[in-house]
Amino acid sequence: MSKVAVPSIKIVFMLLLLNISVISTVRAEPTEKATTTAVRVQLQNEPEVTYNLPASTRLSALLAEIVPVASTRWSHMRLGSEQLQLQLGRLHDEVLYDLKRLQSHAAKNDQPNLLQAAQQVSGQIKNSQFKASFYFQIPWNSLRLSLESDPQLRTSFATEKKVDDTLIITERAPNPNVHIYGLTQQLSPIAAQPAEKSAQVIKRIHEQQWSPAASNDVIWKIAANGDIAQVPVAYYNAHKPAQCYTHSEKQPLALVSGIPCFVNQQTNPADRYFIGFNENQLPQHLAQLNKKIVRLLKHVGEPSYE
Amino acid sequence: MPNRNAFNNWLKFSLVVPLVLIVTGCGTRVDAMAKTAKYAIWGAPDVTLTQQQIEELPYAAQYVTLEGQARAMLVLGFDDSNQLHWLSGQKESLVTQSGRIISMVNVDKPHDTIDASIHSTAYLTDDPLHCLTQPTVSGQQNCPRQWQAEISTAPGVSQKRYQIKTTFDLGSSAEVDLPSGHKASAVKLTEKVISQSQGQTWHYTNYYWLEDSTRRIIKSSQQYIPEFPRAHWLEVKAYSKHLQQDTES
Repeated sequence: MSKVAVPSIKIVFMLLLLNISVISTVRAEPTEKATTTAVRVQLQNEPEVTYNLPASTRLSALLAEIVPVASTRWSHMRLGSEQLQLQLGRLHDEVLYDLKRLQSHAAKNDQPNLLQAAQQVSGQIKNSQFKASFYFQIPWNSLRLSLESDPQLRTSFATEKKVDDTLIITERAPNPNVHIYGLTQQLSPIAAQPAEKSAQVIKRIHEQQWSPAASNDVIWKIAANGDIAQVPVAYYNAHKPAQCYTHSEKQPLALVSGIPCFVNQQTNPADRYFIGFNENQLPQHLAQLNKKIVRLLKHVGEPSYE
Repeated sequence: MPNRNAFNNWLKFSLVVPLVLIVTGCGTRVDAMAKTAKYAIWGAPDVTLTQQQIEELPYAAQYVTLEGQARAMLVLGFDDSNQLHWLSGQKESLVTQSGRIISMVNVDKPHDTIDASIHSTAYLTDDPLHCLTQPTVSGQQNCPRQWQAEISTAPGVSQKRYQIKTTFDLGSSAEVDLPSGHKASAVKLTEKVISQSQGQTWHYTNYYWLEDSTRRIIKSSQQYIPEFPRAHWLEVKAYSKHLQQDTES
């Protein structure tokens, strides 16, 4: 019996292997077919154009093809994709769901301030537009300096290994104002001030009345290029370094490895600030809510302040 | 006997070969150690090209010395509508317009003398250097002498902006020794810079040597913000476009 059983196990094993390889071939097939990448280009005052380019095309070659590189304002140029936008949409829904759970938690535990705060942030998110970006400001000058910093369209921007993704290049002037989100009562934008006066913006943020459910010892700063800092602002911790999260075009929806850094008090156009929840008031299962909201706000467009 | 001879030969071989390897290996190591020690004490050596190397160089090039660092040679990589991108072998780039540093890429690295790099300079069209370096403008005396600009450091949560106010003073003629061996006659411009950010003020004095016939800047010493050290520029090989302007005019 055993002599018969051994070859049969081998055969079964080989068949299994064969099966796996067939499955993997089938799964790999679409990737192999993806020899071109669609790129939708939305430049200001120009009709939208879609290009189909070889997937191996490098980003700098694409840009050199579609815009006058010498005169383009690269700080106005963003790169996103349809798949990344879908992923951001899921994050958006997750945040709203978490805020709903927070409202239920607050209502159940008789925490009216927390309930109101969750409703407030939920309203802000519902009234805002979000546009997912790999690059918030395409770094043209470093892209063309070396191949390592000049990604291929397909390999570097593949999201969830989808082959039918369409890259989107958008030209948009940066917002000249500084915007505040979160648990403060005044949410209207503050005009970014000239260099020597810009610290006044921070002063104005601190002068505003924050919700009792707000964290009053840290504030989140989101820069126009997607970099984020969790800045200590209370009397007891203001001297400590901030926690900085550099934007990564490879993980644009994540907060990648925070490192200590010093953030200057100056504000710049298109900076966003988020006054988050006091984490001591958040239930355990929503402990990461502030971070999740900041990951979403990194991709925020113009809020409507309704 | 043949066995003993063979054994002796093998013994000699087995002693001599490792000895030779050890000695030569040590030689290389000692040499490398000496170079490392020299590098640690004196830093990286200045880049210096011979006159022949400069003559054979196919690119426009500049010597650039950032204060506290060794002299590097940068070659012209791109000309984006008169914004000249000067590249180093380490994929760093300094961008100049009318001889003024206006931005840079990949320059700020750990453990150097640079605290922040200049990301952008706004209001460049009003820069007096633009007028002063135009070969077609009749008389430098008519160019504006004052300029206001805004300089931003690298984008991100630590980005800083500086308000810059400068005043120019046209100096007397001077001779500049160029690395190519030529002596160029030039006008020395002095620029007084007031740089302000967050209630603090810094003062700098910059110098530019304007070559007489082409009005290109052949030498300069520039600083605008405290985070980026003073940079000394010296032309190694002129950009052919600037020389053609001379012929055309």
